[in-house]
Amino acid sequence: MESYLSILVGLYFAGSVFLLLSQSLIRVLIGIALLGNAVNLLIFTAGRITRGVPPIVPDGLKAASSSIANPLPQALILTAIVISFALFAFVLVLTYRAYEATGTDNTSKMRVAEPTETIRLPEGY
Amino acid sequence: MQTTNTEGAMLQTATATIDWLIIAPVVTPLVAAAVLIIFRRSVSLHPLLTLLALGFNIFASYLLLMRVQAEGPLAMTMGNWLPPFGISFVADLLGAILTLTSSVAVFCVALYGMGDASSRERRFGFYPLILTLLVGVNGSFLTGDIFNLYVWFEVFVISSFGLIVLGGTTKQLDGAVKYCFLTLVATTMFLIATGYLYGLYGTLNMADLSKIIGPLPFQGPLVVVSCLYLLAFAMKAAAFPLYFWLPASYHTPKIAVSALFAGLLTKVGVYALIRTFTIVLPPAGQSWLMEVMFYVGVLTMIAGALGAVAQTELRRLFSFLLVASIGFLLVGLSLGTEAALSATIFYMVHSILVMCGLFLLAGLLFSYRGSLDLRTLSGVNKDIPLLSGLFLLLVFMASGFPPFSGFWPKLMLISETMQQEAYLGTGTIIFSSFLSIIALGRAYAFACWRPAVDAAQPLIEGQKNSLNGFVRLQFLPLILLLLVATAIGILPGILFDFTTGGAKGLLDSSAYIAAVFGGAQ
Repeated sequence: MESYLSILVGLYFAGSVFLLLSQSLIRVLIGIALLGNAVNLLIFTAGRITRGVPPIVPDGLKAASSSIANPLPQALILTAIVISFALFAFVLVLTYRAYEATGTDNTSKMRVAEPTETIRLPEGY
Repeated sequence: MQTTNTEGAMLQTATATIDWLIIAPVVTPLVAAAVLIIFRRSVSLHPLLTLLALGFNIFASYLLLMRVQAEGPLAMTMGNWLPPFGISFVADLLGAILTLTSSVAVFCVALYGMGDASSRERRFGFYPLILTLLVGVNGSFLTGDIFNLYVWFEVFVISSFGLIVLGGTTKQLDGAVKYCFLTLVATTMFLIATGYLYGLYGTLNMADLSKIIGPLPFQGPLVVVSCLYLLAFAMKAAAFPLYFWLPASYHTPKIAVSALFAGLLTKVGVYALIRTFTIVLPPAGQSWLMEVMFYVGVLTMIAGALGAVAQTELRRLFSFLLVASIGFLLVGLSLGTEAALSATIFYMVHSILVMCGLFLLAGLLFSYRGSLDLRTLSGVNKDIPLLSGLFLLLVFMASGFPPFSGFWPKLMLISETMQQEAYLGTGTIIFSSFLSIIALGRAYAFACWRPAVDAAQPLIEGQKNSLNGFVRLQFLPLILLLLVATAIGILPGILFDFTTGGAKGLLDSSAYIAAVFGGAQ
């Protein structure tokens, strides 16, 4: 099971890197969303996959009697999902505002902060 | 500190009151930020409450530093789950020094913000955001769990996103797009590496990882994880060739925000590199990766210094100098000896204060002259001699003249590179300092000595009126920063004791591990 998931994670990463390298901000955004999911799946796979044994310790015991699914990767992913969701929402709005303000979503045409013309300083005064 | 009876994996007694000191530098600004958000509309309260909280924070960080110096690393366990299960907070000398320094820097920026942030910007959360930024930064310095470090990274990253767009001009949005996307990719790399680390070793506690990885050979998946960490943190720290986002964005936000970013954010990236490549992944046997880091550092220094010489906008010039200083830190870390690490920590403290100072200075110049373009910025020496003097002082500090704070770490690292026969490092440090002197000296000559040129933009009437009340007050944070930096320069021995101790603690992680596991073993 882990090997199939690893291949899937690889595909996710390939897709997201392809989109991240684009000049169009919308594609980059989708790439970011895909990247976040790729990482979550990666952590899930790296934490080993166990079927159908919920990590619950029975009453009166201090540890589970049989082997259980690892709850930690799930906790990590939950944290990562919340964080990446918040950041993605922010970046989505930011991209829209930047598109409104600069009139383009092409990154190589967004040169307001870094003008392209060469400015020379006076050589003396 | 946990000398209590333990049953199973839980700590049964309450934490001793004094141990709460470890999380005070994180909790104080967090509570203050929450209070400010509750009183969102009463913006006149914000500066005072912020300064009170930050003042307390400096005090708490100072007490923490003194305690760590006296007793060695301190650890605290969250939720009473014993390590490696629970999240640990560990204050060692490196973390404690940086916590104190960053608290001082944020205090100065908050003071500067009193005159700089309009009531509209305050309503949009200027003060709560700089407080949560400090929460994230201090949390990063003090946490002992690598996933928790990721969470603190995200805390300050989201705060910085909020701060960088505060004001919402087109230029800011343009810079913010580059900053935000690059930061997102960098933190995702960090998360990937952390996921692998957990898959490999089944733990995320730094002390536990240090115990497990220490004896392992540097090969296989460990190499992948190390390279990913290097890539992620180098991106956050703005190292060559991943630094282009920094000069593209740091000159766009409000000046107080620029100063905060320049002082703190890249340093957290470097801090994470130091922590990862000493405690978490002990450097034994990974010499070729350290060599890569050395060359990255060398190239960063050259690229930053050359970029600084080519700039005509003052804040972009300072941004490139910031990049050059990151290169210096990377070279220090890559050598990995006690003296080199000590110089690195020393330079980090210096760089936080001086970079913050340079940007605050740019803010003062802007409020008097209305421009930071070196083609028109002129005549400062005649009109505002105090500002010109402070600028000159900062030029000396940033280029590392004795007896100021930049000189000592440079001296230490130059002698260490010669002892390690890394002559390329020696040459680059000198060459890059020389270029910085040219860039800063020229900027100073144009801005201050040159008589006012005709093209100089006159101040807009409204700006002039808003100046009078606050401008004098705004000198205060800059002078405060310069006083601290000068004191460090004149009495380097005090800081040197701390940085040497910090470097020792990084090279021999046994005290760190013992503090985390404490009575549990």
